[in-house]
Amino acid sequence: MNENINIDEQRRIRRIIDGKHGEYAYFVRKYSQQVLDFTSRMITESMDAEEVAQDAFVKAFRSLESFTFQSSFLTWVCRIAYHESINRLRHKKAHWLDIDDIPLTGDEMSDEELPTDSEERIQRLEEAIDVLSPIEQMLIHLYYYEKKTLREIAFIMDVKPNALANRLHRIRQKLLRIIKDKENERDQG
Amino acid sequence: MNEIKDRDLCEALRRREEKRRHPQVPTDFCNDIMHKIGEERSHVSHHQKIRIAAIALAAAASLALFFLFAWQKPEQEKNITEVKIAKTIILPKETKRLEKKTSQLINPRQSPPKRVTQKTSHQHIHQSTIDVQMAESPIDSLQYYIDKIERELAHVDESLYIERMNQVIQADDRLQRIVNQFILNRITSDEKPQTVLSTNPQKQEDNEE
Repeated sequence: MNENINIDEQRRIRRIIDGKHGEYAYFVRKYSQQVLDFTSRMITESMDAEEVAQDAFVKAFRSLESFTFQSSFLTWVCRIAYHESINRLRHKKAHWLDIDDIPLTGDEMSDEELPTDSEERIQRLEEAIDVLSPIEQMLIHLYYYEKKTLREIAFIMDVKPNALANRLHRIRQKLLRIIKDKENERDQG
Repeated sequence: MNEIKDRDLCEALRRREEKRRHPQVPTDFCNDIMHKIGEERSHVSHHQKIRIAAIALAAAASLALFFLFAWQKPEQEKNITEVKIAKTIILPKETKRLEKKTSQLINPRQSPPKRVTQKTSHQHIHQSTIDVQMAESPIDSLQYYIDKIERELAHVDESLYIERMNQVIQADDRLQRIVNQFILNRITSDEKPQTVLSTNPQKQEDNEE
């Protein structure tokens, strides 16, 4: 993750640590949109998502001295924002299932094939993604859309990269199951 | 085909992103954060001031305690040394004296009890008053009681004298055991050789001479 470290940002962070706290506004302005976008993926209520994003920036400032430049500042703030979002969801007792709570049923799947038409397959996938939990959606978004590395995502989510790869595999299995369940429903209907 | 293709998944995610309404950053978002940070800073600086004051206070208290103990320690050591020296000097002398007294009491014919006259009785009373006044330590108390026994024995008849004498011999045995035990403890303990040597009555006497 060292490749993401920006020299200019490093200098700014050091100046902030030395006492020039006003320079922190640079980071807030630069990354507020991305952090807010990140939090709003997990927290649907816009006000809550804003609050969590703000808390993440404040916490990042508070623990700036412990920032070791092992990742980019944005990844680091996203890590804080991720944990803040999880805490908020737990606090609100949101009913979402984690991927680890769902039993693996991939091997028991029928031999029915997914739609061969690409357009149809993509549409079914879009629908299936909506069924996933916020954390699962976040995970596949970071990996397949933002093209973040497993190490980066593992850093944000505070898990081991191997465990993360296993999670991604299970999400794909889950997506497949959701699509097939929906097809069965359609057939029966 | 029974699996999800990465290409399809990426495309599905891209389309979702296109459809998704991205949240707009509020205009006061940055100001709010900077305001919170400002509050945080003042709060932290207040805590730091308290912490510094507490550390300074603790340091001052420890310094005061250190100087207090450092001042008192030599005084205490001096007192302890004085007491040790006093004990080592008094005890052998006292043992010797008791031995002499006992031997005198065991052999009454060699030193028979003196006849008490009014003058000597008065002297005894005067001496006992002084003894009581001087009796500050257990050794002084012991001396006082020995003198008292001596005075009492001067007035008793022979049968009572022998009986009292037996009691004195028994008490003396006990005292001897205590003294012997004390000497043994001093020799076996890990105290300074100087102190151990000074418990030897013979040497002590020689030194005094």
